Amino acid sequence: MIRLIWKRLLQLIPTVLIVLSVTFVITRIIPGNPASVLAGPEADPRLIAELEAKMGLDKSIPEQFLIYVSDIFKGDFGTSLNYNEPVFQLILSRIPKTLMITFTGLIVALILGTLLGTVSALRQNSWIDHFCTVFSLLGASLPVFWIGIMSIFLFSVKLGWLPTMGMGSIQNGLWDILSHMLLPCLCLSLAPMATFARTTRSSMLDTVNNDYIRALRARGLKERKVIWKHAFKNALPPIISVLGVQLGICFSGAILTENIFSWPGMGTMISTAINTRDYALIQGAILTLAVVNVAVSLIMDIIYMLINPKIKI
Amino acid sequence: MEEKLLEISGLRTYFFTKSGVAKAVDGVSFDMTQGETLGVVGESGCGKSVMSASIIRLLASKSGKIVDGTVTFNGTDVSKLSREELRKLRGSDVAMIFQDPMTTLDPVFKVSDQMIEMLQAHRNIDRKTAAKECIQALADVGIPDPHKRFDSYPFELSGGMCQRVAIAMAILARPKLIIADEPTTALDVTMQAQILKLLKDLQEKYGTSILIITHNLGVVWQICDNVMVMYAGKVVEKANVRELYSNPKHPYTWGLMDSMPSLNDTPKEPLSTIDGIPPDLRLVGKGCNFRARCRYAKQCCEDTEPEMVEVSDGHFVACHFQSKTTNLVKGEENRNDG
Repeated sequence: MIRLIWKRLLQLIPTVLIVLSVTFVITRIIPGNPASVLAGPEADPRLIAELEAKMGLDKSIPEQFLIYVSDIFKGDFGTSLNYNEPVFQLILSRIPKTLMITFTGLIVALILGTLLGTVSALRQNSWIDHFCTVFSLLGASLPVFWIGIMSIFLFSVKLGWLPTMGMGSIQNGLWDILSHMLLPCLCLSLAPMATFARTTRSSMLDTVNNDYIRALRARGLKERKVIWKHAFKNALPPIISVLGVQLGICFSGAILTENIFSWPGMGTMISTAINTRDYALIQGAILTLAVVNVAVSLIMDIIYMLINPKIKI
Repeated sequence: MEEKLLEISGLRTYFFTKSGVAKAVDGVSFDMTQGETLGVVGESGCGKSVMSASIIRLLASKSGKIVDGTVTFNGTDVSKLSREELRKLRGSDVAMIFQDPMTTLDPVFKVSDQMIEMLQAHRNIDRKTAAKECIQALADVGIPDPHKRFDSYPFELSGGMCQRVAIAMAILARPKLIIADEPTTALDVTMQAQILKLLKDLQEKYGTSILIITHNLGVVWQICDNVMVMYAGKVVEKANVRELYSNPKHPYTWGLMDSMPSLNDTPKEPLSTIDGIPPDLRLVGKGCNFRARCRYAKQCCEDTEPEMVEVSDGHFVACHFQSKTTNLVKGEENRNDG
């Protein structure tokens, strides 16, 4: 267990270095830089050159990269030009807001998805099973931005039940926050819910046909226990791997959802950073996403070990 | 007259598949007394396992349905039991042991969890007392170091050990009947002998009846009181084990007995077999099911289904040419009229 964690932490170093260099190069390839954005569209080239020199952008790209990496080792992720705040603090203040909707969305997706998948596996070819098939197909193929815009159109514009944007404020009570969360969470949860339903269904179908399930019934266990304790635990591994993948996708996918609903999380911050060529902020945010992804897969491996006693590392 | 523990009459279990109705069990009747060991023999796919699973209404596939017949266990009609009553019957009064011991235990729960859970499903008992009983049961079935095994996962045990655990679980609730579906098929020969002896010992200790499904006649000679030969969903011969051994009547039984390898066989000589394969269970029904593979078959075998007749005391055969008056002799030409 401890060895696994160490191994994973060591693996983190090359991953982070690769992510760092790729984002670094890509941000420099995009036309325009912070100096030109800051100076404005019709600025004097001399002013731009002066700003570039001030920001260190006149140095060669490898040189800039070395400076950036050595700064990171000193714990300095740079300062955001746009927000005029240290990148590290900006990210720290935004992460909880993104987690708020991604976690809630994922938990809802996990619970409803596995429930739907299990029920449709148990009642193969029933109407609920057909519903599950159609739902998984739709959930996997409808793009998030379309669902987002349509749900705003329906629930906010037409029905006027829910707010369209922002996060609300706790001063206006818990419902204010919740009502703002509802649509983004719904939007985020549909695709993973479909995936969970499909994975659970096929995994459950494999499991319930096993001899030991029949043997458990022959021993007179309650059907509820046979399914939800024994079959479910055996069907769990594929669901856990999907959960790991979906966590990563949701967290990075929040860029879209947050922009649609103007949710003040990592996603909106990243797109603002990209639009304003806020180099330090883009790099910092992408780095954070990479670290979150690696951490999630480590946690998933640990969960694997806990549910399957055969896996010992 | 001894008390009947299990009475089955006219049991029919059909599988409704897209390509037709497979008559896996087609009119099986028999009964068992307390303490009896009944062996059911026959080729693979002749309906032995389905028949035994039908007793506790636990079919592996959803397409299978018990369409007719009654199963009376200990005086109660099993088909009239509610789901909850049926659940209580399973595991407590009727226990089942399956063929492949490596797959009958849930791989992700410890032996202890599964045993305690089973006891708790039938009795109001706390974990500590239950654990004590379980460890005792493990010791009873000859598992060395039961405390350690009790705390193991199934994959940490060998096949023979798993089967012992399965048997320990089967006797845990002191059932009146144990249905053993090929309990030794997946085990090596020495382990087979040990498991059979164990079953026999437990039977003597607790007076349990055992219904043992096998395709190994050796097993039957070793532990059974009575034997039932099944072919294509039907019982073709039924007798006391000594009677059947010395005086088999049905041509299929002859074939089965000839197919048994013996130490006296000439080496390198091919083993004797029954020619052909069992019929497609979707097509059986009219006439004698064995006719296509039977060298004694005549026209009547094609036309009418043979009735079960008692040829001597307690010896039943379903063959047109076997009755108290007519007598087909093995190896001789069939002189009866077709």
